[in-house]
Amino acid sequence: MTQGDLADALNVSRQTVNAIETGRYDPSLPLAFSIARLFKCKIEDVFNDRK
Amino acid sequence: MQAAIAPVKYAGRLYLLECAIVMGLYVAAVWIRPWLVAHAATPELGSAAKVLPALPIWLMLVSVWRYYRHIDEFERHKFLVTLAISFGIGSCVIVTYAFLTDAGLPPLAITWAWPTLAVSWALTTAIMQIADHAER
Repeated sequence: MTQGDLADALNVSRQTVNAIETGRYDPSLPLAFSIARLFKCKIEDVFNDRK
Repeated sequence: MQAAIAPVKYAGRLYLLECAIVMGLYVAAVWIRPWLVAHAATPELGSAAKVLPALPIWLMLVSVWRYYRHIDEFERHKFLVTLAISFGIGSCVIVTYAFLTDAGLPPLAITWAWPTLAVSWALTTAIMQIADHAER
């Protein structure tokens, strides 16, 4: 799945997908739930504590 | 919540289209304004003709608001940060120039405020885009 495909599936821009992937932006809870639903994972898997 | 007008990826194109239409209306209003003022039947209509170019400016505000409602949360975040920085800088430039008129620079009409803010907004947007690309 390309960033463009994922962006279309989530109805966000490709830049937003890129920013989330590279850790420059943490998604809101509604968007994180959408990502978790799409990848059939838990919402906590979407977030990564880098501390 | 997203304003479900169209997919987010079309937000930029729709915004540019709306801006082009609004700017076209602004240019047309500025162009026809002297004729309308000269041929106004009453002083009230003359006054209305004088403020005619202000109407597209308000339409621009509507267009910006529609764009803001259309984009996703990350784009909104960037949009608001850019707007805050650019209008802060633009306001400082305007106030600084106001004081510089006391030092001998020619006074400018208040209508210069909007182009100043618009240029500041465009420059800040460009710089933020370059910085965003560099971060990737």
